[in-house]
Amino acid sequence: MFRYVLRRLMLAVPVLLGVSICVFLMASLVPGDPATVLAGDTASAEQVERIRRDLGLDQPIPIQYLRFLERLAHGSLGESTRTHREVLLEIADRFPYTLALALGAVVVSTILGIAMGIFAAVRRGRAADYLTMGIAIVGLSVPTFWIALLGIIVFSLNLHWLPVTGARSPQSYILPIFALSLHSAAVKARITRSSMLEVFGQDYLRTARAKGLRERVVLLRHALKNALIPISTIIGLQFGSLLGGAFIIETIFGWPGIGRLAVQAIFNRDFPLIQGTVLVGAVTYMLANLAVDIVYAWLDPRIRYS
Amino acid sequence: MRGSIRVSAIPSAAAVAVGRRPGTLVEFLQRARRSPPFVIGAALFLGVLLMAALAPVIGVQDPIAINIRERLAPPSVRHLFGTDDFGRDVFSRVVWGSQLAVRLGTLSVLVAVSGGIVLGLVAGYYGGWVDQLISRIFDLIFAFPYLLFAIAIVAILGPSLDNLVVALGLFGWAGFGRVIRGSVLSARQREYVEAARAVGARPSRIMARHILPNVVAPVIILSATRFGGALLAGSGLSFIGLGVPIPQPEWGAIMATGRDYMGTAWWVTVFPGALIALAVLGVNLLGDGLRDLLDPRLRDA
Amino acid sequence: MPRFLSVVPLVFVVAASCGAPAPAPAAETTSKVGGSVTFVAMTDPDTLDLHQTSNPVSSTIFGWIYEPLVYQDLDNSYKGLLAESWTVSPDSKTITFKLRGGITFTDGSPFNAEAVKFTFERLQRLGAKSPIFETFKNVTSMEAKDDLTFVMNMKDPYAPIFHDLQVSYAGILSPKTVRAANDNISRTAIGTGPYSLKEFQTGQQITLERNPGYKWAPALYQNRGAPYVQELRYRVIAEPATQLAALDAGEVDVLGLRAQDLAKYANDARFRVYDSFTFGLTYLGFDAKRPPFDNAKLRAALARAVNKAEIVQVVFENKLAKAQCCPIAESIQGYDTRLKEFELTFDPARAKAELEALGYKAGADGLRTMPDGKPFKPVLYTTTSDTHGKIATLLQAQLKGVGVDLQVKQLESGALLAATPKAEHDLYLNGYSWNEPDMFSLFLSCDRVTSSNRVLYCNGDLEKLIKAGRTELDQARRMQIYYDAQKLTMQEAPWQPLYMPVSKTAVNAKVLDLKQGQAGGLYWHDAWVKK
Repeated sequence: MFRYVLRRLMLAVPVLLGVSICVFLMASLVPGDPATVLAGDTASAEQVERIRRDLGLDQPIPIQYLRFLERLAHGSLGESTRTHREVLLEIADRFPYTLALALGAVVVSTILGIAMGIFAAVRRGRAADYLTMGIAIVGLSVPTFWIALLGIIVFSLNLHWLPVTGARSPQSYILPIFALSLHSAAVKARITRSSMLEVFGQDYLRTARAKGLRERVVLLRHALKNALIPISTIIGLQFGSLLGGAFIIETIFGWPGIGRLAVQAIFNRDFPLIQGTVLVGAVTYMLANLAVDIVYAWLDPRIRYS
Repeated sequence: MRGSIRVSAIPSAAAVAVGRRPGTLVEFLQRARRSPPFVIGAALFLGVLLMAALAPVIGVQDPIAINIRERLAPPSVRHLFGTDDFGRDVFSRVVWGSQLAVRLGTLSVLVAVSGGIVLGLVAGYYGGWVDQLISRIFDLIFAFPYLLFAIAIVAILGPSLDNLVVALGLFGWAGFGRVIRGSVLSARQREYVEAARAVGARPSRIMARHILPNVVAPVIILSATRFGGALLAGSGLSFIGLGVPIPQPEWGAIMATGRDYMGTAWWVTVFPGALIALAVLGVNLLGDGLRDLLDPRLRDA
Repeated sequence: MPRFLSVVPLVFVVAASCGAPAPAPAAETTSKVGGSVTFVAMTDPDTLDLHQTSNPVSSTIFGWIYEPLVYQDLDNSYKGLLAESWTVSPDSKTITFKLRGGITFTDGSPFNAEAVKFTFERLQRLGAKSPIFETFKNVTSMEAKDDLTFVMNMKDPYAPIFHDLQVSYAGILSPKTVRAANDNISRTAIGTGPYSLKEFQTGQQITLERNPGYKWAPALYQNRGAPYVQELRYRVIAEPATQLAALDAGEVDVLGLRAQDLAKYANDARFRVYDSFTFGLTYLGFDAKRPPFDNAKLRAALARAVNKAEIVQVVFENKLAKAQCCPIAESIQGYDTRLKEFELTFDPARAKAELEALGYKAGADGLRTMPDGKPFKPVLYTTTSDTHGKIATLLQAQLKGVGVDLQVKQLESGALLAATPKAEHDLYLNGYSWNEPDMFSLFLSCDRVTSSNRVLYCNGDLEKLIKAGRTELDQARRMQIYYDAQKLTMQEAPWQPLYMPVSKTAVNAKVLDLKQGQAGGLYWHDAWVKK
């Protein structure tokens, strides 16, 4: 197991390197550079040039990349070209908020999804099954931002139950987390149901029942365990869409997370910040997936890792 | 799929391999008729296709003609879905928008599938360091935040439907690639394939005749889901202003214009939103139905 | 169009008289002190270092903390704020400021000529991102003759100097704090202003607190001492729907309204709505460097296809914008109603006739082709803002009405800023916000063709007028120069001016005694919060 983890971590390095190179390539292709954006609409050509020189942007791209690697070796992701603060600081200021949303969404969607899935699987073929899965598939199909805006209008504007913006109180977490969870809750519900149904027909379950264990225990132990493997995969993927999916929610709810930071960084051509946020996102994703794979091995000892 | 004499001579359950299309088309359709998800899904999806095909007939009013006097009119006989803040007929815009939706979904899937098939086939068939390299590329694509990538693509290439397709399709390479690789890996181990290799058949021939058929089913199912995903992602990008250029009536773009009027002129967001939901619902159900029909044992992730 | 009030802190401190600041009557004020007012910031302020940004959100915030030497009074004249008075040398190249005494920074150090010199020298050194960087390139030397006398020597006479000195980017820094922070003042802000920085929560909220030692408010206000409102807060909320919801829920107290919200808040007793003009203009520009738009006649013909009234009605409900005739908006010095006769008014019939005469004949589908037969499909570049999108949609329809098939390309700012100097575009839709007739130097002058002059217009005669206007200090003569400059511009039509944005700001009714200036700007120093 330890060797497996080590190998995975080592394999992650070239991937991360690849990610950072892709970002640099993108940077060189995207029109406009940080100097023009920072200089603003009313600046003269000289001002732009001066800013470009001060930021070291007049160097060719490969040189800039090498300097980036150099800084990285010293543990720094560089400075944001806009605020001149350490990129790590800018990210550290905001990452916990996005992480909180993501973790909250994972927990809520898993509980909700599994509950719905079990409920539907047990009542297979009956109205309750169709209704539950109907809700799930609709939840999959509706655009997230629409649900979020609807949530604000109903719960904040009309009912005044929940705050509208920011991350100040515990209640302010409710709407964003629910909006973010809906889609994956639906996916998990469907997966749980189908995994459980698959197991229902198999031999070992019948054997367990024959042994006289109560149905409920049989259900939970064996069928659920089967479902957890694909669900773990989904959780891993959920972290992958952390930056992307979070951005829209963060914008709508005025949430101070890195999704918004990353997109703003693109608009500002703030390359150190873009690089930093993309790498942080990638690292989070890979760690999450590694954790998921370890959970796999624990859940299903039949899976071997060489 | 008729194999060569060498194949059929090898006794194994390979002929009924996981994912092979069962029997003939007629048999398939007969079974399909009895599957509710397939039927409903197909109906919805065909409905959208029909809407797109018949747009010139159904969408009689000019979708981009501005009529200030009739701004923000609620649904009526003349304007089935009401009008937006420029007096444009929302029904007509939605109908013409179905063409863009179909195009967006289909092209993204095609881009994703073509890249995915190539990468997945090569990775699964050759194995070894080729597989490792390609799997790392998949990891890279998965780890990269797609929204940022899409924004960058649109920033570089400019706002247009086709550039959106590129952004969304490229991301799908990894999704399809992984699934195809999985199918190829399992197919490759089948005895008839080993036999074919032993006899010295060319890799491309083996891939084409023995492996590809196994891959078809998961690809079809995944395509259905990705079609829906492309529609949702496309509308999300329109929401932040990076979708199609003005005044194209892409469904997400229509919703974006109505976003400011959600309280007062709900019809501008509700109808295109409902259509996105129905279209995505349709392809999702279709995907479910197909999965049940083509291989009940296939689990998608 | 900016949602937050850029006008607010710039105009809030209106200074007037000479003499020592008068002590405020004690009993009255203590009961009014307290409470908080929350504003909205559309984006994260990047930095509070006033020399290293041109971000309007940042400047609004540090505008409460730092004070400039002068301010602009209601009658558009400039009066002394941190400066008491000044004299201009006969050759107009030297200004000697007599500074106000008894003023201290919130770190306890005294405000003096040394601080002013330190600040402006730092601007020359580090201020490449500042909107007033070019201004100080014209300053050859500065002197702190004594504690309260500051001398500025310029290379050429520069009439807009007082405008440039009153913007919040020209606020004065405390040398003590800047040196102690090693020039890194992006999150540290020590000034002489009525508020100081209390807390900076990245991405969420910036909190300012009242400076109790503030005693030098202008005589315009009844309250000559520290402000009443204890805290000012800026909440970062990017999404308009969320901003509105926050206003409604009481989480935000001040918000600029959009056209579609006006009806709701006009009669809402919880809020008072204040109207004010903005110092800006949105225009439709023609890329004068790119054929066939280098032909003034073509520009004029197309300009006549534009229906400004319709734009103001549909996009702004006739309330949030006012159609404009001239390159200088009516809120800005230099505006002259006599110029209305040169406006290229909406006249589709005339536009069609002129296009025909130029060889742009309409085909069977009603769309025109160029004289050489190729289809005429000009491309309009603009920002991704909703407002510009709506205007572009209307322009498309209006130009279609005269047979021109306009294409629209909305680009995000980085791409737009990069594309325009390359003359990739045919038409350009955007606005400027600059309260000085010398905006000509920035947006229509030859030496800005590779940067801020995004219609790439370069005309020798206009250039002469621009230079003359910039160096002419006599007010009457200066206004005549700008009359001529505008007349020429309107005839040449590199711009078709569209509208001046009008702000309608909803303020929570708990805020009392908010003053409004002539152009409608809000003055906060007498305001207080009802408990």
